[in-house]
Amino acid sequence: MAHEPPDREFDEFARARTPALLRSAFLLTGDQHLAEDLVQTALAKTLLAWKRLQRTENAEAYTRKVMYHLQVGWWRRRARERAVLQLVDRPDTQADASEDIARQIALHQALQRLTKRQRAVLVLRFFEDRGVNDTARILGCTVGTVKSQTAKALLRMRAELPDDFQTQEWSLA
Amino acid sequence: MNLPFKSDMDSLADNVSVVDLTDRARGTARRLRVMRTVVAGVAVLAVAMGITVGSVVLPSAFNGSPAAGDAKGGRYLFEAPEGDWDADGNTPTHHLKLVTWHPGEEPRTIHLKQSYYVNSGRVSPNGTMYSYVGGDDAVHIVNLDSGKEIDIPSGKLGITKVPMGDNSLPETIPAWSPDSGSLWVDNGIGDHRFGFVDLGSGDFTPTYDASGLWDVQVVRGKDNTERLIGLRLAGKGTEIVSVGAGEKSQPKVLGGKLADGDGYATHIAAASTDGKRLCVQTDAKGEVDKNDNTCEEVATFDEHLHGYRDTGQWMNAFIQGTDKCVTLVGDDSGEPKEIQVSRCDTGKVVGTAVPPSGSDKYGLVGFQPGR
Repeated sequence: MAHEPPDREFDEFARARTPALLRSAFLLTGDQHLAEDLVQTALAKTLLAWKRLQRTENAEAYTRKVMYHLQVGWWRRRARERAVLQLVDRPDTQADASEDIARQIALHQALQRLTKRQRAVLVLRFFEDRGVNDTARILGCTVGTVKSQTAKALLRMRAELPDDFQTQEWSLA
Repeated sequence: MNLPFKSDMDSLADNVSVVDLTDRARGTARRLRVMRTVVAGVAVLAVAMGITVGSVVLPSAFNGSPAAGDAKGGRYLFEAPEGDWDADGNTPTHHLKLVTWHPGEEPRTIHLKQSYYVNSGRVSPNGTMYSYVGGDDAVHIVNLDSGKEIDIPSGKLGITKVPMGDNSLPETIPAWSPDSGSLWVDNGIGDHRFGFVDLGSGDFTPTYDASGLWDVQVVRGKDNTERLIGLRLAGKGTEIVSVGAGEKSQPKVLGGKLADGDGYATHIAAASTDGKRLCVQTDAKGEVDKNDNTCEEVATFDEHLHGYRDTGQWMNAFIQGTDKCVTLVGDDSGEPKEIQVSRCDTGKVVGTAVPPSGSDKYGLVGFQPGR
């Protein structure tokens, strides 16, 4: 097609960044297939804008922004996509693996009880270590909204998670 | 201070399996490129019974100065972003506007009051109203003639709010009744969540519990009663079911896999009000792509799947009361190429027009001849 960008450049970008994007997407969606859908579509939109992005640094920022926008705005289908956490078998299973898995399930369930916007704020701030200004820019909202959504999300997480998560130590700073 | 939380999230993220999405992304990009220019959504547009496409005069332009010879015909309805697409065909603020246009007249813009949940907009079968789910989680109805919102009376149950799913998004898209007098909704209240809201009185009439169905459309059955047609999971794929609107009705399977190699229906983008034609998206494995609620095939039904046809496009709107479809066709690069009116069953083109200038910003969601 006339508008097709150079194959190699985009393919290299997509293959290099997909693992990291999938990790964030998994936290956002709570589901392997939904995470794949999200990253797939975000990459597709990046491809459409590839010529404008020029540099891969811009491309990654753009892809992440699209991914978060999609996640907050996407329609959610009934029944089809009930998130079920499928914990993978990892070869380095330790003696206390069951405790770790229980902990992950608890966190997964608590995240799923948040609104999509609240979850996006938590993933951006505490998983991707982004500041409130950066988070607001990516989500396209005000700093005040980020702060209020973060506060509500943390409050909800504290109520949902057991004490051993030490949620009282989580802060807005 | 947040290190434990970060560590727990890292561990949770470790559960994702890394897959190569490059080829899938390329495929989606090709489809989005066409969708961006061809349409942003879909709706069924109704026309008076008996109008034939032969009498339809199609527009030659959409720049406010269509040729005088095209002054007759009907009304086109487009969805468009407020402002602009964000360079990738997305609407970052999820704000849409509607553009109505009669050939020979200036196009008219209707600004929606609320942000818009993706794919939640539908045109009433009589072509006079447009419903969507706003960012306030309420159903909004716009009068396409006046451009003003119509308030739904609160009625007995006050059904003006669409319930939230477990991710704070509506689970059911409101669907118009064939007579355009009611909206079928999920009110989220108790055991009688699903039903019709009468737009005149606001009263709520419960229907069959459609839990587990998606993309429900309301059509008129052979006995002139309302039926719900939707998709549900079945085995490794999906199946299209039809069920009477009554609370105790039993669903009937119309069809599963549409054809060898063409896969399962994953979305019903539109239905003719007589229920004989469905505009469906298919996938070989029955996997639903939320961003791909389009029309790849026109499936024809009586009691069961009667036939299907690959449209070769990604969007159609049925012209109600006829056996015709209207499509804004894009070329390989996604630029609008042609508006086509065709026979839904064979695809034979019976009318064409030059698409509106600037229509890469617009999605054709309906056409109403004679209006």
